[in-house]
Amino acid sequence: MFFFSLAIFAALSWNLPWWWAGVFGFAMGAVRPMGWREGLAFCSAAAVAWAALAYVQDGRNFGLISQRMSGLIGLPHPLLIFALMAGLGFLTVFFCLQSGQVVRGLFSMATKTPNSPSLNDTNPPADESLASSGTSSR
Amino acid sequence: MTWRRWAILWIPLTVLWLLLMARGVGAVPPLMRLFDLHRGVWSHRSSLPLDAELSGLQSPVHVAWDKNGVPHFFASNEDDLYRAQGYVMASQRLFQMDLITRQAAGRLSEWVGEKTMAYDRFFVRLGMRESAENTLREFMREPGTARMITAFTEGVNGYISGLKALPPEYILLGRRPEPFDLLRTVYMDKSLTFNLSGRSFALNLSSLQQQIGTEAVLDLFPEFLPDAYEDYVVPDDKGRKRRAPETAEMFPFITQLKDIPAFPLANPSNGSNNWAVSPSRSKTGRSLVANDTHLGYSLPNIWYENQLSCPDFNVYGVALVAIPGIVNGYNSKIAWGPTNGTTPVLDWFEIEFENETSLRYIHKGQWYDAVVREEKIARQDGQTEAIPVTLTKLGHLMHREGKYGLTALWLGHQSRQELQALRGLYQADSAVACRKSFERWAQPIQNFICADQETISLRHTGLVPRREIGEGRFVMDGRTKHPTMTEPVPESFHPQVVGAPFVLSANQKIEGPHYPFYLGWDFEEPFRGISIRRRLEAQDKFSPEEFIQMQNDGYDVQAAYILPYLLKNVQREDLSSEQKLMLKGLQEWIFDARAELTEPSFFRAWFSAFKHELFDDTYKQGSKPFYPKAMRLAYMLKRVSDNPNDSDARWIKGGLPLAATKSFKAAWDSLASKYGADPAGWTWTRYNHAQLPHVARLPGFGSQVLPMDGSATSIRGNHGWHGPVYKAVFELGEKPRVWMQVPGGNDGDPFSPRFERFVKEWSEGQMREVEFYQNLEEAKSKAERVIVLRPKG
Repeated sequence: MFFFSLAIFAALSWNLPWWWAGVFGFAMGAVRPMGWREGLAFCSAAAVAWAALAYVQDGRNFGLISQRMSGLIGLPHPLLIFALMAGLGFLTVFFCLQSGQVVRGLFSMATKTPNSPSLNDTNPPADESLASSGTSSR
Repeated sequence: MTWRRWAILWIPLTVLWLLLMARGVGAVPPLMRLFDLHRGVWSHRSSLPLDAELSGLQSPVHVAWDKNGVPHFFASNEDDLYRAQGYVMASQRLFQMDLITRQAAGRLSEWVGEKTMAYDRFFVRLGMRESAENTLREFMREPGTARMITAFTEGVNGYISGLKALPPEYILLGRRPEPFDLLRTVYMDKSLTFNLSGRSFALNLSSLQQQIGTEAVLDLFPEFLPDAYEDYVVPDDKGRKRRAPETAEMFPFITQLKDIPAFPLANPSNGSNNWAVSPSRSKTGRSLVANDTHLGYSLPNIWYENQLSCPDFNVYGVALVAIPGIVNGYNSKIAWGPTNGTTPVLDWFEIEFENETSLRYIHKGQWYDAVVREEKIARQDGQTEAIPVTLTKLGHLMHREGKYGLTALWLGHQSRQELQALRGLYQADSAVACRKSFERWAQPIQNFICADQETISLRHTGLVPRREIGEGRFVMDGRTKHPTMTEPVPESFHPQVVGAPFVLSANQKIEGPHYPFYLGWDFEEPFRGISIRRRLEAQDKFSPEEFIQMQNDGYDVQAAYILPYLLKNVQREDLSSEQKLMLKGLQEWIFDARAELTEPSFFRAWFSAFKHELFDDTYKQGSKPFYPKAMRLAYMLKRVSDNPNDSDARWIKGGLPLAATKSFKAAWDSLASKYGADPAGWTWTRYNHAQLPHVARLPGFGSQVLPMDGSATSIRGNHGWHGPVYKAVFELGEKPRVWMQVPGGNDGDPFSPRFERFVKEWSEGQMREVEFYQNLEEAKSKAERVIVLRPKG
C-alpha cells in the first residue's frame, strides 16, 4: 500500500492542485476498507511524497524557498519546512480518508448489506477501520 | 460509537481542515494555497519570462536577457517598447508595483489594516487623489506621454490577465492583483515626489517657537553657518552683495495650534550623491559621472534596470517600478543622474474659520468657503471610511482645533511634463539638449547632472519657488499671508553650474548667502558634499575606478567635525579603565566607518547621548526627537571649546566637560544594555544594522544583517535602513563604459538566487560593468537568452 500510494501521490501532486490528494484519500476511504496499518501507510505515503517533492523543488531553487518560507513562518531551521509539508500531507489525507471511511460506513448501512453495521450498531465496523482504531472511545 | 456519530465527528473536522488550509483563519495563512506543490511556492522556478503573446503589439519585441538578469528591449516602435516593458516589469515586480502605488492613493489599509490608516488619511487629506487625476490629465495632453503610459499599462495588464500562479506575497495576503490603471503610474510619480519633497521641519520649529522664542530658534537653526561649516551645490559668489539675513522681527506670528499630530512627512534622509569631472580632470580624457540615489532599503529595489531600444533611440538605465521609460541613465552621447534638490516646497498655514464648525475662513480681510470633496478609504475589514478633503486658498486642511485649522500647501501637486522631459533625454545628443529637455520638469526638484563627452553641467531642475526671506520656516498666518510659491525664481538666477571642471551635489544647500533669493533654510547637512568636494579638489585627474572607490568611501566627516571636541572635553578621571581604553581607540580612529570597528558605533551613541543631554530639558520633544543640525552643534562645540564664555555656552548646561562626560557614560550604558557588556561586540555592523527588508516587511523575505561599511554622513551614505539603492559610474566616449549596481538586482522574486547575489555584491561595494547592446544582432550574440513577445491574434 505504501509504495503504491507513494507512486500515485508523487506522480500527481505535481500536476494537480493540493486538494486532489484529499479527494483521492476520500475516494480510497469510501471504496476500500482499510485497517489502521494500511491507513497509516497510505497517509505516510502522502507525507513522504509531499516532503520529498518540496525538497527536490527547493533544491532546484538553491534552497531559497525553504530559507525564506521558514523565516516567514518563524521556523527555527529551514529543514523543518519539509517536516511541515509532511505533516500537512499526512493530515490532509488522513482527514479525508477518515471521512471516506465514514461515508462508506453510512452507505453500507443504508444498503443493509449483511456485513455492514446497522445504523443502530454501537460497534465499529468489522473491518477495523482506521476510524475506529486509534481514536475510538472504546 | 455509531457511524452517525463518526460522521458527526469526522466529516465536519475534514471540512474544517480543508477550509483552514485553503483560506486560513486569523493569523494562520492559507497554508495549502501557499505550499501547494502545483501552484504554490514550491512550483516556483527562478526563471525569466518565456516567449509569449501580448495583445496590442504591432510587431514582435525581442527581449535579450544578459547574464545579470537585465532585460534589453528591442522594438520596431516606441509604443511596443513600453508595452513590452510593462509586461516584463510586471512579470518580475507585480506585487511591488501594486503595493507601492497604493501609498499615494491612500489605499494601503485595504491590505495592511489599521496600522496604515494614518498614512492613508494623510495622503487623502493632502489631496493626492485629485492631484493624481490632474497630473494624469496633464500627462495625457502630451501625445507622446499619453501613448507611453497607455502602452505600458496595457503591457502590465497583459501580464496580469495571463497570470497563472500568483506571486507568493499575494497568496500570503490573500489578495489578487486588480487591473492596473493609468493612475497607478501617476500615483508612483506622486509617491516619489512626496518622498523627495514632502519634508518639512516648520511644524517642529513652530512648536519650538512657542517654547523658547523665535530668536533662540533662529540661533539653533540658522540659515547659514560660517563657510567652514557649509557646502553649496553652486559655489557662493562672493562678488555679489550678501543677501539680508533672517531676523526674529520677520516672524511676529506664532501659531496657537498646540496639538498638531505627527504627520507621516517625507524622511529627510532621502537624498543622493552625484558628481562629474570634465575631460580636463579625467584620466580617460572624457567626462566622468558618478551617481548614487539614496532611498529606503527594500527588496525588491525600487529601481528597475533595463535597456530600451527602438529606431528613434537606444537608452540604458533604471526605471522606477510602475513608471514607463528610464529615469536615470545614458545613451551613446550623454549621461544624466539626479540628487534630490531638497529645496522646501511644503508650507504650513494657520487659518481661522468663522466658528468651530464652519468651513468659511478669513483671508486677506475676506471670507471664503473651503471646497470640500469627500473621499473614501477602504479598510481591510471591507468597511469604508469617509474623509473630507478640504481645500482652501492656502492648501489642504490637515488638522483643526476649534475655529483654527492647519493647512498644507505643497508644490508637488503641480506637475508639468516630467515623463516627457525624460523621453527627451533618450534622443538628446549633448548636455545642452539634456538641460533643455529638463525645462519641462517641475517636481520633484532635482539636481540633475547632464554630461556629454566634452562637457558637464548641473542644474537645480524644476519649479524653484521664489520666496520672501524666511518664508515657510514656521507655520504662517493664513489671515494675512498670501499663498506662497506662486512664481519661480527668474531664469537668469536659476541655480546651475555649467563649464566648471567638476560639479557635485549631495542634497546640501543649493546657494550660499550671496545668492539674492531665499530658497529656504532646511537642506540636508553638508557632510557628504564636503567629503566629495575635498576628494575632487585633492586630486588632479580621475579614473572610473576611482569614482567607484569614492562611492564606497566610508570616511565619516561628521565624526571628524564633532569627535575631537568631545574627546578634548571628556573628563578622563571619571572614567573606568575599560572606558579609557575606548577613549584611546577613539583618539586613534581615523573616522572610517568600517563594519568590524566599534569606534563608529561609540561615536554615534555618544553624539546621540550628547544631544539628549543638551536639549531634552531645554524643550519638550515630540514623538520624534528634534535637535539642531549636527553641523550647528559642531560649530557650537568649537566655539564653546575655544571659549567657555561664548554665547553658545548657554545651551550647554553645566559646561562642556560635564556634558561630554555624562553623555559618554550614557552612551556606554546604552551600548552595554543593547549589545552586552563587552565593548568588542559593539561593532558597526551590529549598531548600524544594515538590512534590506522585504517591501511588504514579510519576515524571512528580506536580507540578513549585512556587514557594510559606511555611515549616514560618509559618501557611502549607509544609514542602515537607507542608502544608495542605485549606483552608477559613467565614462563617456565613443562607446561609453558604465558600471552599475542595484541591491537585489532586477529580480523581484524573493526565491531567486540573483536576489541574494546582488545583495551581497552591493553590500560589498562591487559594481558590474553594464552590457549596452548597440543593436539586436549584438544582443543576440552576447545575451544569455533572447525571448520574443509576439502580437496576439
